[in-house]
Amino acid sequence: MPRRSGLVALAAVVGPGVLAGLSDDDPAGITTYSILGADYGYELLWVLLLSTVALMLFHELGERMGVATGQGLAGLIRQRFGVRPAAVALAALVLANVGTTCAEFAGVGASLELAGVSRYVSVPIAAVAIGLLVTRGSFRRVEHVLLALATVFAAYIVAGLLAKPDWGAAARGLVVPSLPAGRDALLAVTATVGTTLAPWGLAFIQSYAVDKRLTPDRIRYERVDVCVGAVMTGVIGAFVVIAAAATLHADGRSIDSAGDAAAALEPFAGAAASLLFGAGLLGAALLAASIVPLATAYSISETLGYEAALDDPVREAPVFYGSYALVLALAAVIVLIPGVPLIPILYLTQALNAILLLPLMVFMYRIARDRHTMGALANGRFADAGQLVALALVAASVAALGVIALAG
Amino acid sequence: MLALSDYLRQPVLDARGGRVGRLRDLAVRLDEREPAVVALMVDGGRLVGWERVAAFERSEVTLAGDEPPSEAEEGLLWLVRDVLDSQVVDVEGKRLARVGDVELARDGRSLRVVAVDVGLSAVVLRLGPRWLARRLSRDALAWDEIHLASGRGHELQLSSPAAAVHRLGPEELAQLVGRLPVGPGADVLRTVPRPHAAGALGASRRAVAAGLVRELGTSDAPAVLAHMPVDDTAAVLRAMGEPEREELLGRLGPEEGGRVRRLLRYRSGTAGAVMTPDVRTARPDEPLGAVRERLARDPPALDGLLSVVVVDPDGRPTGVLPATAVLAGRGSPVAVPAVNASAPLDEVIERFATYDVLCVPVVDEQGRLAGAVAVDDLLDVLLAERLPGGPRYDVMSVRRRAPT
Repeated sequence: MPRRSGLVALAAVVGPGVLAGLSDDDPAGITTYSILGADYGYELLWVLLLSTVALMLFHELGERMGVATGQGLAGLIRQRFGVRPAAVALAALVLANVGTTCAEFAGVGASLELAGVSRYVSVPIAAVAIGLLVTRGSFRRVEHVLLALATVFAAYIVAGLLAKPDWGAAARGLVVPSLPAGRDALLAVTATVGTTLAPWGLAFIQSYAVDKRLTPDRIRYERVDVCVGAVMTGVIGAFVVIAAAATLHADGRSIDSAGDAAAALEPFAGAAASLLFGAGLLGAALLAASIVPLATAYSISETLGYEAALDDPVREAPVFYGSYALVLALAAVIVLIPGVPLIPILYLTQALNAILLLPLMVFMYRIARDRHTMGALANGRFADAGQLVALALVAASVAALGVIALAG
Repeated sequence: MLALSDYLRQPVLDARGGRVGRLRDLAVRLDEREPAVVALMVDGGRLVGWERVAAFERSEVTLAGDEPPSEAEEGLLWLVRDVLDSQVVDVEGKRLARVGDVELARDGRSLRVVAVDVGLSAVVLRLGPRWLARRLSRDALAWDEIHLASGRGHELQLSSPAAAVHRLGPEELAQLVGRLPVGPGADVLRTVPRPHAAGALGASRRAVAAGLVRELGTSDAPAVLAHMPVDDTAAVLRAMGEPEREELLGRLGPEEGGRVRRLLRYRSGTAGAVMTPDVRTARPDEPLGAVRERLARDPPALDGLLSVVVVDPDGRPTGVLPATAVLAGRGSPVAVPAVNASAPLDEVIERFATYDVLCVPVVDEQGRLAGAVAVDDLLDVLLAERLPGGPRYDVMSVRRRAPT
């Protein structure tokens, strides 16, 4: 029964690609996609298609690097490029990840405030629950809970269907590239590329693949995991754009956040769509709030040379769990400080994530070509070319973002 | 003691004071416990043999004579490329660590590698702030207590008889291969003596062991599995996919393969899945002295199996003779009822709780002795349940085979 054993083998490796991919559809991502749909309708869906392909290419590489070397990205950067570049990359990653975790907790607070729950209640509860899950649970338990949480994303697909979109226009927007004139459209495009691929996702997928003890002989299934994860990430993003396009854009309305989008959906697509959108936002925030600190904890442990594994008891991996708890607590506290300038913090975080993405991708690309490190799993010509194109896409986006920011 | 990082990027001068370049790397040959430096690398990848070094100081490295730099040599370990900032397994402390600095010591004219520093202070020192580094702890591991996890270091150590990996017993090997990626882990098992490799597999987590067996492949795995107790082999194969399992069973040969296959018939969670078929038996009327002599000639793999199962002429167990009775030469069998091989494990636990025995006989559908669950086997199962995600690399099922 080869087919059945294939499915069993696939089920055993699924996880890194799906979780890393879906963590990129966090509240910041959903906000970006909602704005893209509300402001430009279906027209810029092709950008999402492109960035999903880039996501697939680099997550595949991340998982392959973990499998080939048995090390996470941060550790590998130290081994290959020395302690100084590793320390700089780590510092930037930690800063960006703390900021990102703030954004996730802000998302938890905002989505539950739609249901009338104060953020001073929801955020501490969420932080403690996530902290307990990771410090108390085994690898398997943590993975099961996170994968279960990821099913919440189906809410976006339903919300998109309820919005009764114009499928013809959506299909055209997906495959026919066009760019409306003006600075705002360019900003929307670059923000979309920047939010689909994220530094924490790259750090996470590789370390997590190592922690899951994935092996080279299963590489075919591991690639399926990555592709499924990336496609799910892209499809969910597309449905968010479609939901916003079919309702808000059709009515000529603009929004500032995903929370606005959830509330604004109600008159057009009904209370169910609005509720689903809000629930999706909560699930997305919780998933990313678990994964981003985890990526941080893996990276800190690897760079400093300590063991990091979800199966280790807390007292055997104090650096790993300590940094996890610290990121979680810091972010929850920052979000709850009254009068803290949250919008600038989140804005700077997104900028830092975009800037950091490029050097990380270059490090990855260089390691991927190095047969000394990667052995038989080093890049082939096809992967080389694909990654270069993706790198160029991200570089162009970051550069455009920089120019726009400087031109102010 | 000299720290490698203090010497890197220092100028290398020739005999007339002319600059050859900066020091980039040091090479050692792994043929001694504390390997000696045999070459330097200067800018542009040029090599200089150690015999040309007149002075090796923190301010500069001075060379004697001016022969042209020598060509690259195979089989050398480069301390910057292959060791510094790479992962090592601390085989004594059983942990994974990353090298922050390499410590060298002068030994007459030569320079030897004696330790690696995996502490935080070494990292901080290389990044700059000395005041902070002084407050942090050093954490030095002797060179002969580490295994290099980086590709080249790992290969060179495997091929060097002086390396730590060749002195490890099965338990330490299990710790080591559990911390390495599966490919290098399998390399280690291919290199060490087969019984050690088998012991290491038996002492590893089932999922880890299954991954290693898969990586060993049909060419190398059967030779290692042949040294494992048959119930351990079955436990590892149970954790693998069906096609791979069948292929391996085919390679084990008809006799061994058949014995494993019989055990594999029982689902996990049943007495049959935990039992050992290799059990010592006695006839009801046999004198205890004769039983003791037989045990001494052919001792069982587990302490729990020193208890002898008494079997009637039809092959049905009637009781268990405690090891103390066999040793003392007096005493009678405990009439513990056998458990059916397909019965849940709870029944076995209940027998242990009721009758103070160290092993419980297991029977097949016809009521004939199929094997026994030794207390050691049961403990494995219970410990694994008691410690969910507990110790990452459990050593609880290590079996010391009696010397033959």
